[in-house]
Amino acid sequence: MEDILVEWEAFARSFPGMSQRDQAELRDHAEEILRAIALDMSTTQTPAEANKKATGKKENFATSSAAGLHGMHRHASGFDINELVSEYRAVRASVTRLWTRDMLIADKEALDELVRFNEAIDEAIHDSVVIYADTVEKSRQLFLGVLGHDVRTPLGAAKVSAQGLIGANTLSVGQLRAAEIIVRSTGRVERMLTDVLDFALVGLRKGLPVNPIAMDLLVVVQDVAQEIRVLYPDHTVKILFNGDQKGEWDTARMHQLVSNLVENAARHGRAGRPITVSSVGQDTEIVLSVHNEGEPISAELLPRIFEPLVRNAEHAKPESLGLGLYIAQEIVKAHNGSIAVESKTKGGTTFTVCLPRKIANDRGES
Amino acid sequence: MSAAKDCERQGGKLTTACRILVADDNVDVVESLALLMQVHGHEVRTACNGVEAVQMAEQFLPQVVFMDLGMPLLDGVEAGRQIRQAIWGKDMVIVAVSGWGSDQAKQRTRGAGFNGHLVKPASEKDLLQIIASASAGR
Repeated sequence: MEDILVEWEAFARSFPGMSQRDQAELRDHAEEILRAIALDMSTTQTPAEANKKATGKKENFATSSAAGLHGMHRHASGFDINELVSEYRAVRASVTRLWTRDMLIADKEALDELVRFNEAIDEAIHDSVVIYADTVEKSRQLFLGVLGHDVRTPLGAAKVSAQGLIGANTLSVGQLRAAEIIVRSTGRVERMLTDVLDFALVGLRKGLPVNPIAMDLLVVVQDVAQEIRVLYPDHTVKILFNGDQKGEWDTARMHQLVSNLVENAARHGRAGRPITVSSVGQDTEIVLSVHNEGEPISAELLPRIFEPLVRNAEHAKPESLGLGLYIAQEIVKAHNGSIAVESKTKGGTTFTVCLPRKIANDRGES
Repeated sequence: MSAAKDCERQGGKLTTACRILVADDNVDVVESLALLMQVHGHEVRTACNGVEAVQMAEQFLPQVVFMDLGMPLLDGVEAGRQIRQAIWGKDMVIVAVSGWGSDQAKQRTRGAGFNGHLVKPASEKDLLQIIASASAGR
């Protein structure tokens, strides 16, 4: 054991920034992982169990908790994934070398042991890497969330100040225009931040939280149409509706959903041609569609259109983070609905959302 | 006509001048909000922590209090609770303004006696609407 630990430590010590305390922790982890592996190898296993392990399906708690912890620790110490995996390579190499160094004959039993050892190492690598990757993802999303939240404060102050300037009614025409630009621009940044925050939320909580209450979708559609008309004066927005538009949804999220779809239509739709929002109330659901004329979405982009951070590269408009449609889909999912897109040169682009009037939850209550 | 004037005409009548207290530990936020409300003809005082908020509320007797929740010395929820429990504060319109709008956050403020909970950044429209309905309710 000691020899192996010495080699492992020597490898780890070659990394800058590894403190004394880290070295002690490394020793603890390494020893635990190796002991768990040894324990695992000393228990007999059936061929079925062996197969499960080889294909990554077996649960081995002893190794996984020690190895998982190790992955987390390595992330905190600033190791990258390459270095983490190299560590295990060093262990595997040194153990095998030390083991076979004094062996004169390679018998079946020894070979079986070697196989089990390698399987155990592979499991440990798997656990370490999974936890490491998970930790990286979580810190990234936390950072995004904090950033989005903290940036909003000074942004809000800028917007409110500009609104105050406008309200004072003492500005010249040119100054008024400037103040209005500040309000519009800060509004755009606010929307991008909301997208970033929601993106982080989806990752951290595996979906967007929603608060459904009784509401009328038509009101939301009308509000959004008004806002878009102000932001994109070159586009007209037509609203067509049929049937009862009431249901139980999260009001703010519905606003966000319709807003993202209509703004997408405005950004990519042919100028001067109308954007049509139609909402049809059916028995248990509402079918909402947003249509724009103009260049269709390319065949390469279409299947990936709802993925985050996918943008139409030809449109040189950097105002979009490429999260709008992803978040629209997440909102629809959170309400147990579905969303689809059709895009052709002749027919234009249509996004269709099916929203159940009520979200029935798993326990069958609705 | 600017959008600002439209807001004042909500409900078909001009909002009469109100006394408003704005509490937030961020200097820029509190000043810009105060300026905005003054521009609409209201009398505004500011506070930058929970203790000051309670003191100011007692002295100034505002009709509306906009309370940031994350403040030093005494947090916004506690300050709101104290104001609500005071004799002079029981009819004040107290609205939380917070970066977090989760259910728990809203339940907390509701439980402390707040009339409403806005998520930052609060829109001009929402702020003016709250002031308008507070003044109409007099």
